Amino acid sequence: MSLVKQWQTGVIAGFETLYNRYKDMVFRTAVSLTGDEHEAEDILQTAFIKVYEARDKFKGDEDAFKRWLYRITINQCVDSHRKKKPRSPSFSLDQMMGNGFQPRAELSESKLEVEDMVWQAMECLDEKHRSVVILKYFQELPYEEIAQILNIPLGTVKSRLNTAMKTMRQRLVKEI
Amino acid sequence: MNCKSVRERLLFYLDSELAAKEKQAVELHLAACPACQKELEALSATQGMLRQAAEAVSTKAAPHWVWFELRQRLALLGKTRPAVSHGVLSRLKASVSGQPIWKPLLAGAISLAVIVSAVISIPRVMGPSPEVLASDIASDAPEIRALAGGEPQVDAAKASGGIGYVLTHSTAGESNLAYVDLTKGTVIRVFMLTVPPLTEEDKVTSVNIARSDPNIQRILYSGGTISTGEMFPLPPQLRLEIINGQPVVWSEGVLVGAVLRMNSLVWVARIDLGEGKVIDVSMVSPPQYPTQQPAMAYSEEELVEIAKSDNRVEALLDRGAEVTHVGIGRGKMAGTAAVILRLGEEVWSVRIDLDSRTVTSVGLIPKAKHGKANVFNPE
Repeated sequence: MSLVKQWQTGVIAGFETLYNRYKDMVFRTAVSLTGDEHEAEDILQTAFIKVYEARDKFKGDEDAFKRWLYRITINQCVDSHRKKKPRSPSFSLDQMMGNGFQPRAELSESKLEVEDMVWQAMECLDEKHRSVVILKYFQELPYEEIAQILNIPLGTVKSRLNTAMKTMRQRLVKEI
Repeated sequence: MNCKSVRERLLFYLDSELAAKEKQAVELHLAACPACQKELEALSATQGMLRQAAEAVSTKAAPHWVWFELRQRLALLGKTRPAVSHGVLSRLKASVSGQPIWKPLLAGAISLAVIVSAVISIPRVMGPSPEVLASDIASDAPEIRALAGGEPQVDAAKASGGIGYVLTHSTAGESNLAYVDLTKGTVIRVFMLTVPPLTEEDKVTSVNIARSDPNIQRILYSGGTISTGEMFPLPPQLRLEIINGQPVVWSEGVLVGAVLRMNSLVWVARIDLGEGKVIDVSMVSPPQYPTQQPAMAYSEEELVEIAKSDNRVEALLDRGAEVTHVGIGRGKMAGTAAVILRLGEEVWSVRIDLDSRTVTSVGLIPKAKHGKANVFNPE
């Protein structure tokens, strides 16, 4: 019996194995999207509660499960972000530094790590664009799979990624 | 191809997502356009920075306690019994609403402390081992003492990778699992293990099991009664194991306590639902059995009302705190009741003196977050 079938028939061992197989994927996606590990822990739990609750409704194989789990995770992150005020500390660099983003030269002077700069730049993307960037560069998924996960046309994935990357480039690389 | 259309394609050029003809056209333009070349470099640098940030995230792993918390949340949501072994998992689909263990005990009766103390009897590990160290740290920790309402009883202790896992229970039969930092000698996190109430199906099955027992039959033939209204879940026997470096608490089965009455006589039967048999039937002797049932004398709502009369509690409720547990103290805590409030991450304990019906203390039960093992403050 496949792992997904085991889970769907209510065998807790199947659910536990699915959890162990995908927990890091969910956790890392949530950390990337929220920038907050504690929040990511909650999202991980909530995502798998949703998985447990929806076992009768899910149809598909493990690949479909993985895509569905990504979708649940992203939706949880979006919900969590909407409910949350203010923004998590990891993303609060521009609040700490004052208004708006700093040009690259100033960021260098303030010796911010590249990662901090990336998170800071990511903050100016809305959830739709951020999700595409995370799935592409953090989860290294091909465009087609991103389209399936987000349930949007391939062309939309490309245009969102193009827009997001232009914004990121403007924030991160002032001049070469 | 002009600059505008080339720049629209640079990202896909870098990602090798262009068709051969388009790729060729872009390369032709780039060879002759320094501005677009710079743009390509900038975009490539942006991708490099993103990948660097991604690499940092790729090393992160979901903390191991999340699974444990998830199981507890599922139990509270009524999806599964917490800490249940695979052998009884077919029962997990039963719809039960999560309740703290003592609430059904409270509704059922009375001198169950004897039964409770007999249920969990895993011997404490002795000797100079990490397990002993772990149980000592847990026993002395103020937050565990607060949860236990005094000296906690250690049922089992295990250690793995510098972390100790200690299973304890309070005089009221509540079980807790504590994670302790063996190096720092501090408690990292405490989980309250709860047993959900019985389903109607559980109660009906329990009555049927009870009726088939010869000892109970004798009581019933003599005019005794048993009803589904006086049944409560007993704390199951818990077993602690470390599997793949993670603590797993197993339940040895589903135990039910059932009250039998005949005139002024009361018996309590312990029923093993999983095995389908009565474990034993013991008479609750008259001195132990008060004429007025404490469970009836204080309703949950009444105790919450007493708690609310205190300004501090009122302030907590105003801030959005929710009542999660209400219970009557037993053993050393007899004559008192506790109302537990949760406000976000904070857990507050409100002690009530039942004689004077007043709040005697309001205290924060500290709960540490991962990586901040020293934040406990008994005050």
